[in-house]
Amino acid sequence: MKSKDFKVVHHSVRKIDALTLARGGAVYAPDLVPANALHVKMLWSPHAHARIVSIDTSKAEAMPGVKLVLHHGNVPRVPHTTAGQGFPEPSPYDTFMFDRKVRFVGDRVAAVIAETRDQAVEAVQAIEVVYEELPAVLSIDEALREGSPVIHDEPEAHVPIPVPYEPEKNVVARVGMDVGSLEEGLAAADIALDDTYETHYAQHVPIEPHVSFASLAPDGRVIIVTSTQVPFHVRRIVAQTLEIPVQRIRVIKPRIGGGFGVKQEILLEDVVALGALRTGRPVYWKYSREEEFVSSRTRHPIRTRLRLGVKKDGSITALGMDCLSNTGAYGGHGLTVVCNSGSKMLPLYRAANIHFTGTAVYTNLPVGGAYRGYGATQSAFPVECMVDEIAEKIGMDPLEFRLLNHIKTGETSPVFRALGEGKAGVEQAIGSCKLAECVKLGAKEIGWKKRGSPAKKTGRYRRGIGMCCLMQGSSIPEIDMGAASLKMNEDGSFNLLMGATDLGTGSDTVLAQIAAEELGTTVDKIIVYSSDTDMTPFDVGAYASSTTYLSGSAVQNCAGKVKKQILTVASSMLGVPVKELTVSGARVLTREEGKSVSFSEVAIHSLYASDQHQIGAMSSHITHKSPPPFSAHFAEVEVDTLTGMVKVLRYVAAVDCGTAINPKLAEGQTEGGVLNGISFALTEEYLFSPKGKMLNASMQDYKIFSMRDKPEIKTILVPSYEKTGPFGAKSVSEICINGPIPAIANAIYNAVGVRLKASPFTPEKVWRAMQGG
Amino acid sequence: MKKEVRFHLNGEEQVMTVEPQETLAFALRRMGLTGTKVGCNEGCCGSCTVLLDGRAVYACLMYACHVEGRTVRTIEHFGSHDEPHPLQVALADHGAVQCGFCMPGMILAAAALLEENPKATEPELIRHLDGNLCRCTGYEKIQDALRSVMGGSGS
Amino acid sequence: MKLKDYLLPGSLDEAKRLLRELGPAGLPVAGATSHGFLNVKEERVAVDLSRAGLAGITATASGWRIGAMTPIEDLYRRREKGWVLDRVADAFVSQQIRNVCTLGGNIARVFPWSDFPVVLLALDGTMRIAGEPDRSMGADEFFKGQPARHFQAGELLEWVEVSRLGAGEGFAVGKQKRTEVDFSQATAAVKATVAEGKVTGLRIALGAAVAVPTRLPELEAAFTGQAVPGEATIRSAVEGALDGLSFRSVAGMSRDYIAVVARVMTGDALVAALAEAGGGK
Repeated sequence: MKSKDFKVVHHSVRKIDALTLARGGAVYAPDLVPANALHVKMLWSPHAHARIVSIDTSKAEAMPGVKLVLHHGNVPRVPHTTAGQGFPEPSPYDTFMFDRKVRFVGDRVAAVIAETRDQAVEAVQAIEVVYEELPAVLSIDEALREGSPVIHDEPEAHVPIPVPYEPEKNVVARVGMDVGSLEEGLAAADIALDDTYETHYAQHVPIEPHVSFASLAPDGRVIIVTSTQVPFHVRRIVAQTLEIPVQRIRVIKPRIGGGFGVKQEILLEDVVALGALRTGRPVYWKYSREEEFVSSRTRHPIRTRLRLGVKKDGSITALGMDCLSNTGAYGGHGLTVVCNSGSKMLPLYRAANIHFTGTAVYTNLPVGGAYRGYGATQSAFPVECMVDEIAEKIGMDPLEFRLLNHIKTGETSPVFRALGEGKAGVEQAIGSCKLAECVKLGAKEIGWKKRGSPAKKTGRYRRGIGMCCLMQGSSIPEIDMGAASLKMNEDGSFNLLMGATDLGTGSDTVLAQIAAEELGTTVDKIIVYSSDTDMTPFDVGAYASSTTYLSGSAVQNCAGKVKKQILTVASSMLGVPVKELTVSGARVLTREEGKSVSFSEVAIHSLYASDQHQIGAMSSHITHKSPPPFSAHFAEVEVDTLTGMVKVLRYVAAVDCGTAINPKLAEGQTEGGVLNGISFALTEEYLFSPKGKMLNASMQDYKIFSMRDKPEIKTILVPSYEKTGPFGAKSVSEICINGPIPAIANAIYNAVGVRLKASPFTPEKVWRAMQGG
Repeated sequence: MKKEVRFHLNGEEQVMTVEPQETLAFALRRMGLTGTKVGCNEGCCGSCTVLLDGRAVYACLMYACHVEGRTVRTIEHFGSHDEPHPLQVALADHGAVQCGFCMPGMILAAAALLEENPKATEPELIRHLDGNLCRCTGYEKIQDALRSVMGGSGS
Repeated sequence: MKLKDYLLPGSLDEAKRLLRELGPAGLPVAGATSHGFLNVKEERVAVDLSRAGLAGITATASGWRIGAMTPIEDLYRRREKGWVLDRVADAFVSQQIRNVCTLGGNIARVFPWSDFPVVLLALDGTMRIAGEPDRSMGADEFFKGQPARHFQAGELLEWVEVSRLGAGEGFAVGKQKRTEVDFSQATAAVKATVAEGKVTGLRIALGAAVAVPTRLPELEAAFTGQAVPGEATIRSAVEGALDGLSFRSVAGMSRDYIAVVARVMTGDALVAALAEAGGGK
């Protein structure tokens, strides 16, 4: 099928829940909490590293309204990971619901569950805890130092899959690969660079923080309503943690107020579920904004040593990346994020010799997790800045250097096979790549040719243009699964039930478009219900840029099965063989004689007339490829040379995401990710006290951009057709956030001639670089 | 000591009983008006924006007692299922609604300006919306939508 | 903060009486937007001043009298010849805060990042304390330490007066923030008077970069009575003139760097204010 023939996909249909949300509908977890719910307040660790010598909750328990106090002495001790990943997870089981040790400022100590939030807050202050403070590990270097304090000294800590794990050395994960010899490649180069880059702590800042509540059904089952990206993983991990059967738990994801990866984590659900089980009452917990910053999840800071060797003709002889990732106090996503740093950026350019190591270490700092971009954000910085630098050194336009070397349709990379998620990867050839077009269109839009050289720029305010190229993936091949079911109603409408999880991205709409296109009907005939573990089929959830590509294929397959059943019924109604029938406009038509029946007539026939049966089907899908979307980003900045203040004036993102199922929503993904990336590049950062306490845990002190701060962001969708995706689609949601750091760093260089190697580019850092370090 | 607050809420006289330190955001939500979302509870994100005598305010920073005798409008007063407000339609049609959590506040802040000055310019609108944060959209589609409903000088 | 009661006095006299009776338990509420910064443990009684008749701007012979409870947004909306506070109110926190935060609230308790203390120091504003007796106070005296020390129980800030910017006068603010809605790293405000090519009057104030907003008398003296300096002269004078100050670290940036920002912002405000004054605007 060609894109011009699409009737529903590749059209910007209105997001199906848009009006409900714009009207302030009572559809988010906090809007649905029963009036008689109890409230949770957590006592958080004030220490970065300490043992709990004793904990006395008697005073708190005696306080008005207090129903329950949970702590390490009265809950099951089950090692698990909070990371919502496929099972068995590639993350260490290094977490307990409550432990006898605390590992960062903001770690769980005890939870009070009371009639009101105020009562819970007061009772928490009455809990008496005696700590034995331990020396804290507050940097990657300290973590790896010989004889450093061991953060996870509990005997139970282990990884449930066979991968290296050395908690006694504070090492969460090691991964690596070599193709050819880096040393020989560097020796063969005309020019080689060797430098170290560092990215910083940041938070997702969903406008709705983490929030969950649980209540008991009359039959004793626990119903958890939670703001999550991974309802099925929530069910499994809560069952594991509380030692109750999966069967006893139902997880419902209502509308959620943003995720960006931070809600791919099981952080509240175990507490509200256990609270409900023990008290028999609904139990509600919503993080404060401060708790969201300190005690949820963050972007792993990664230090990368990058080595790059090139010939004067621009060919790459050696590309070596060594990543050291700070996973904080717990190791969820530790292995996979650092692995992704290699697997998503190394294949972007053809290199004769490739080397990669990724090491993730524990520290007594806030916990890393999944964050849109997932490691690729951290490695796009070194790769795209060093490419820029080395191109200039051989006298080549960095844009031409990228066009010369980037991976193209039909090519493969040894990296695909070498690096998977906790196991070997999956070999693939690139089926669709319009990166060259992205580069050309973006360059034209930004005015690349007019950017000038830094040496020729004068005046206080200097402008510069920078660019970068990016790739990501679409789903985790041969690991992740999505499923959907579809049934037909007598008015020709369909119930589409999916495990897939819409975080606000619009996946319910996109998947409904895929179903409608395949069925030959319209989106308004698709009644979508998603993310309810009792009602919908399984799906791993919304992560790894998978929903459109993976769950979308499940939906398409499912709709295809249903279409066959519709044709079969129509065939008997019309007395015409199936092969002579076609569907269009919610009707089944004969190719020749001009006879037709409506979907509604087909449904009524199947339900009431003869050979009665429910037209419906269920399908699952796994992927065997992870086709990369590609993107070229361009930033124009203005630097105040007196203060180092950087302002982004314009930003252009050209993206090849295959067929954009819903172009407006695809643009929206790109623009949202880009702006998040820009404020991450310039202002968002964690400030710590010398003892590891976050100092700016509020939206007053941790700045994300408002409409007044944003530059003009221009998105250019560059269509390609990915044959393995639904109607040619690949992913779009994550790739966009990776561009701003390198594009802005390169633009700053173009403006003022300094190359920044540590983000964020605060005015002080830029100013100091301009003073010569 | 509980306080009784009499005020005009969404076109009707209302009495609410609150604790003196209770904020308007939580008082409204307790009354079932959950369209007023609470994202940060520290006067930054704008999800809790309501209109007080026509001006956009953060309900999370405002004591409920402060609205005694005054007029409050919340998102529940703007549009219905069958007749959504033009701003709601524009935002939906332009793909500006992603997670939607910021939307009620964004709409109320925009409505405050457009009610007062239907011919507000785009820079005025941007200034007026600097207290409403969205993490999903990068604001581009929101601006497109608002541009489409702004009077003459909007483009 | 825990409140025992919430009172809404209908007049200034009633507000004064309530606060006098309540003593330390009374908490005047001007806009409540900064209550999150107050670390008050004891229960208090809120005395909300919004109905006490303290809002509004009226013209006087030499300028304007601004009621203490006038919202910042109203300072922005006023557009008249010689009125300059709209320039400050333009990018003051966010719209919702501008609608609620009041001029009195912003200056009665000074936080390091507060804008209007710096601005009123430069403009030589006059503050009126309603009390026993009613009295007026210049900005230099009012902002010496926390203004709270000027107030006895039951006394309130009633209004602020600023003069009209006339011919030969200029006013400018230099301010650096990470984002539009952010705490300032340095706020410099300058009012300059120029006559016949000479600087005849200069008031320079600096805040945010330092703990307490302060005038920069040395720098004022360096230019007063001299020919209007060029930008290079201003920048080099600013270099030395701020050496005696003790700078804060703001938003993770070092004191040394904040000192740089303070100098640049002071220079920016000086350049702009002198240009306006010299241009006879």
